[in-house]
Amino acid sequence: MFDAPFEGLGFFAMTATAIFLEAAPFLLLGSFLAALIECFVPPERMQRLFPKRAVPGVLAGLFAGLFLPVCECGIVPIVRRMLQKGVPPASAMTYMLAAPIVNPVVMASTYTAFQGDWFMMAARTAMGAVTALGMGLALSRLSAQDILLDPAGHGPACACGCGHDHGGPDATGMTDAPDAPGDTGAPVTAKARIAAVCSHTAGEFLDMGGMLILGSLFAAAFKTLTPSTLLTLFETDPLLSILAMMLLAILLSLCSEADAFVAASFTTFPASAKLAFLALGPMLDIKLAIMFQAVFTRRVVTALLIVPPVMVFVLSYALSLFGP
Amino acid sequence: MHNMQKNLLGRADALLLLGLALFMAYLLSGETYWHYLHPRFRPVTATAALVMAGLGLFALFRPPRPSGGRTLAFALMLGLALASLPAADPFGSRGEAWGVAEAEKAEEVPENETGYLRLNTGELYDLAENNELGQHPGPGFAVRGFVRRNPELDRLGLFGLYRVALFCCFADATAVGFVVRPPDGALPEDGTWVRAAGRLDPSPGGAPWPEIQVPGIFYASTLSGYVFAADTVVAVAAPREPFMFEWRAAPPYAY
Repeated sequence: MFDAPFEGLGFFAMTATAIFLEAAPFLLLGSFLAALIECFVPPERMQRLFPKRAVPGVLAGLFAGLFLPVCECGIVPIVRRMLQKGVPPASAMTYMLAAPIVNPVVMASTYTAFQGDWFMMAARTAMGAVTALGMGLALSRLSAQDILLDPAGHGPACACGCGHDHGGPDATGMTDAPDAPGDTGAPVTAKARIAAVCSHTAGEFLDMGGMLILGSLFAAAFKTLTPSTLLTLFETDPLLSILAMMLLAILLSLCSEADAFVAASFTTFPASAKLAFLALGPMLDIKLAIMFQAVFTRRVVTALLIVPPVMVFVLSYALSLFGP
Repeated sequence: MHNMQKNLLGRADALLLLGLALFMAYLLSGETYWHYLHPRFRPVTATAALVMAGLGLFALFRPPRPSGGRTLAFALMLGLALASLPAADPFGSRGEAWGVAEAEKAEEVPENETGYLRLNTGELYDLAENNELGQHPGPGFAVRGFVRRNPELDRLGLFGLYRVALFCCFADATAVGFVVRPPDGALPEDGTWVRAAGRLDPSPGGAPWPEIQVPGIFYASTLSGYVFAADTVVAVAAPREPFMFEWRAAPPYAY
């Protein structure tokens, strides 16, 4: 049953395909929500939903995850569109990092995976929330122009291909801006709106899907080629085990709704290392890093690649000193 | 880029979306789906396939802005998806040597296994981890799984018995199992499916077991501190779905 050729390309192809198949529906959902925001929510309404000041802004971003739970596969297109619509970066960036962790589905799966261990669920949620709040506050002074590669929604961000320049406020069809669907200022028909939603969903999905595929290929290659024995070399040292599990979270690129079951199976690792794995994975993994590169400026990508891992490491290590 | 070229690339993206939607539909139509994803995701995949097909058709008539890299990525994905068919069968689920009748017969409880509690390796693993083994009176437990041999275990006259737990997709699958001591010292062949009936005894010295690799699975979780002392080990057909998609905390167990 365990043939050598099967262990190679077959497993690689199957793993990459499985990751894509699992993530694609959620990316489609994210793309659809982003298209709805683009086409139906005028910027002023979107801006009214989120406070402008930093602290209330990050708290609003944090709690948005509870009410609009989206996993990490679909979050990037939504946040891009939120920023383009004028949502303050403090709220949008906090939401991006917090939503895949601070959401009811992920909390329930963590609770189940750890067989009713409230501590693991609460600690994971708290670590994700603290890291997201820290990152949101750090980015709160920046504007959308400083954060997005394409703040107006032109370029690759808007790939609907209809030939119009309808980034930002123009595509809602609710203003008389010159490039809205029906750019003469005449009322927009339902058919035009549906076509605009389809265009934006397809464009967004294709853009982000390309990044998802690259991430899936890297993750599948890592999973196929790396023996797990390498990881278990570090399981006895608290510091190294945290680092090893953080690296694993980045490289495996698991869905935040399933990763708790995988973490729970690492029975020989300390709880602090498992929490590091659980807190970091939904905020940073290979597929997300590739999506970040396509959407955010270099400065923000650098911050996203450094700050969450450092914060998660510090929190996990502190937990290993004072907790389980 | 020339307009015609742009349209061609955009339409290629549309066709690739349609191709991936068809691939998903193919998986849903047969028994291959669970090799990739947990069956509970079938409705999600079906919806995604429909939406993707719709978007693909839409994009055929209104081609999206072209991007060579993106088209290449989707083409590669579709190629890999097709290359992964027929789906990997690392755990002997096709059981060519066994017909349905044999498989059913293998699942009957033989006389010498009467009273053994049937459960899957994940369920037994949890009972041991939660110190609940004593709550089940009777001669012991019966578990089935595939055999993994390892030189270190061979020397001790032991073998590994595993099932693969799949939580969401194949990428997050982990193997869960035990080190088994066969009653007569005869070690079954690597990769074959067996059912072992016996009990979990503390392992001598409680030393951790060697790291056992299961092909295609990143991590195999072997219950440490115990050895499954088997009273019987019999060859069985692999179940139609060899993965563990559920495990229960109380009877009736999923087995």
